[in-house]
Amino acid sequence: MENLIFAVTQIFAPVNLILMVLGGVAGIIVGCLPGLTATMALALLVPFTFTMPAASGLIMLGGLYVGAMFGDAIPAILINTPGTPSAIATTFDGYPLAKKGMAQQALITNAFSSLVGGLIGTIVLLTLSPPLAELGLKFGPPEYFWMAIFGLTIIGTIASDSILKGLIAGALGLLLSTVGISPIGGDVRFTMGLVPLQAGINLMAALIGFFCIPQVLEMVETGAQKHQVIRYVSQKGLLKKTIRELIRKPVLLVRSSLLGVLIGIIPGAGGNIASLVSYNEAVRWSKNPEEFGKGTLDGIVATETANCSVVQGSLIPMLTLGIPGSPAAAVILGALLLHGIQPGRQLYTTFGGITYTFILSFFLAVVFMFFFVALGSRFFAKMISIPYHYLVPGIAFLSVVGSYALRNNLLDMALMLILGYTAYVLRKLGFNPGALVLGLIMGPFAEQGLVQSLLMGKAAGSIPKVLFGRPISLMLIGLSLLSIAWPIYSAWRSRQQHSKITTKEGEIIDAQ
Amino acid sequence: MLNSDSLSGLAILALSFIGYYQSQGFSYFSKIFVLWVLIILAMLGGALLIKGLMRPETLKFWSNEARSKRLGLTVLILTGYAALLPIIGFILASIMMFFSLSLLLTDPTRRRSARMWISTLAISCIITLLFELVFRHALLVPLPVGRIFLG
Repeated sequence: MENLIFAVTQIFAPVNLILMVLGGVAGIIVGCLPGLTATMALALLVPFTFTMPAASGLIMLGGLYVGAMFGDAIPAILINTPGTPSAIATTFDGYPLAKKGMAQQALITNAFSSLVGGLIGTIVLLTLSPPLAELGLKFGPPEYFWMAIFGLTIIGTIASDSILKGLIAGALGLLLSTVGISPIGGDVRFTMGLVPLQAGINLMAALIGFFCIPQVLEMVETGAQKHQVIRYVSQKGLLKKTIRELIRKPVLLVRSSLLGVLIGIIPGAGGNIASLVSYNEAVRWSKNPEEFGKGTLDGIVATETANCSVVQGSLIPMLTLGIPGSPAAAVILGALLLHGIQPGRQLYTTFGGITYTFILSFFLAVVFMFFFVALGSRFFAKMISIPYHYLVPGIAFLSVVGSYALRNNLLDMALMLILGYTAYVLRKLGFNPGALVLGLIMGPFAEQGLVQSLLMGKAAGSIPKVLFGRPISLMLIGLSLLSIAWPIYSAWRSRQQHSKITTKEGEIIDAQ
Repeated sequence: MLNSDSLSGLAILALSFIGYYQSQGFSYFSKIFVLWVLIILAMLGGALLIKGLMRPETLKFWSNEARSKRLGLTVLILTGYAALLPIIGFILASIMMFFSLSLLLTDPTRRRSARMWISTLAISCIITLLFELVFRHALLVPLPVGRIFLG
C-alpha cells in the first residue's frame, strides 16, 4: 500500500508528467519514421535518464516505449509502410481503409485499440507477473519451433488470392532468413562473399524494401489520377462514432490484448509475431473473414491491441526474472541496472515504490497517447492529401534514409532497394510480399527451434518424443492444424451455403 | 504476353537447385533447415509450373509506354541516389533525388512554369535539411558526408 501511494505521488508530480508526455511524443515520432525502432530510441534516451531520479527516468522510458507502439501504425495506415516491424499486420487492413477514404477511422481505431491493449497489459503486469513469467520460461526449442509453424499458418489467411503463391512466398522468406552465419553450425551461408551480410538480412531494411518500394513504384506507374482515389474525407463526430463501434467488439479487444501479453512474455517473440498471430485469430473467429485484407476495422483492432499489450508482456519476465522479453525490454533492463536496481524479488520489496511507479505510469501513458493520437488523427490523416509529386519522393526519401539509419550501413540501403524492386516484380506476378516477410520473421525461430530440438532429441534418444511429446508443443501443433483446417472448412461452408441459396432461388424460379 | 505462372515456377525450381548446390559445403546442422526449405520450395515451384501449363495465366508486364518510361526513370533516380549518397553526401544527393523525382511526377503542363521549379527546389532543400537536423543532430545518426568533401 505504501508503495502504491508513493507511486501515485510520483506519477502525478508535474515534472514526471511532462517527462512522460515528452517521451510519448518522441516515441510517436520515432514510431512514425520507418527505420527507427523503439529499441533504438530507448537506447538513445537511456544516457539522458541517467542523471534523473530512477522513477522519472523510467517514467520517460515507459512513455517512449508506449508512444512508439501507438505511432508505428500511422505510416502503416497512411502509406502502407510499417513504422516498426510490429506494425506489419496493420498494413493489411489499414491501407485499404485509407484507400476507401477511411484513414481517420483507421487512426482512431489504432489509438483506441492501443489504449485497450495497453490498459489490459498493465493490469496483467500488475497482478499476474510471477506465474506468467514461469509459463514463458517453459518455452524450449520445440515450443519455439511449433510457435513459428503456428505463425506461418497465417499465410492461408493473408494469401487469399492464391494459397500456392502464398506458400511459395513464405518459403522464399524462410530461405532469405537463412542468409548469414548459421545459428547452430556456424557456417557462413548465401552471403556472396559480402561480410556485412554475415549478420543476416536486416529485418527492417527488408520490411522497408518489401512494403515501401513496391508502393512507390506502383504509385509512379498508376500516375496522379488513380492516386487521387486516396483522399482524406473529413467527417464530424467521427471520434465518438468510431469508439462506439469499437466498444461493441469486447471479445476481439480482450482476446487480442491477452494474446499480446502472452506472446510478449516469451523471450524473443516481439510485437511483430504478436500482431500477426492476433490477426490470424481475429480472421479465424470472425463471422466475416472475407472482409479481412480488404479494409476492416477488426483487422486493426486485432493487430494494434496485441502490439501494445506486448509492451507490458515483455516486461513481465524482465521484472520478475531479469530475462527481457524483447530487445526494447532489454534496454529498459539496462536502465534499471544503471540506477542500481536489480530485477527479481527485491524489485517488489526493496524497490517496490519505483517498480510500482514504473508499472502504474503505463496507465497514464496510454491514456495520454490515446488522446494525442485520436485527437491528432484528423491532422495525421490529412497527410495523404499531400500532392502526389511530393508524397512519392517523400516516401522514397524516408525509405532510403530509414534503411541507412538502422546500422549506418550502405549495404542495408542497397539491399532494401534490391528487395524492393524484387517485391514489385513478385507483386506483379501475384506473390504476396506479406507472406514473404512472415517467412523472414519466423525463419530464425523455426530454424533454431528445429535444430536445437534435433540435438535434444539425439541426446534424449528420441527425436519424435522431443518434437511431439511436450504439452505446450502439442497444444501449438493442435492450434496449427486448426489454423490450416479452418480456412478450408470456411471455404467449404461458404460454398455449401452458396449452393443452398442457388438451389432455393432455382426452386423459386421453377415455382413461378 | 508471358505465361507468368510457368515462368515463375521455372525460376523457383532454378533457385531451389542453385540453393541446393550452394548448400553442399555446409555442415549438417547448418544444412538441415536449408534443405527442408529448399525441398518444399522445389515442390511448390514444380506445382506452380504444372499449374501454369494446365491453366496458363498470362501477364502483360508493361501496360503502357509512358508508364514504363516513368517507372524506368524512377528506378534510375532511386538507384542513382543510393549510388551517389556515399560520394556526394546526404544533403546534395537527397536534394537532387527529391527534386528530380518531384519534377518527373509533376503534370507535364505545369512543368514549364519557373515558379514550379523554384517551389520544388525549395521544398526539396527544406525537407532534406529538416531530416539532416533530426537525424544527425537530434537522433545522432551519422548520415553520409560524401567522399568528395572528406578530401
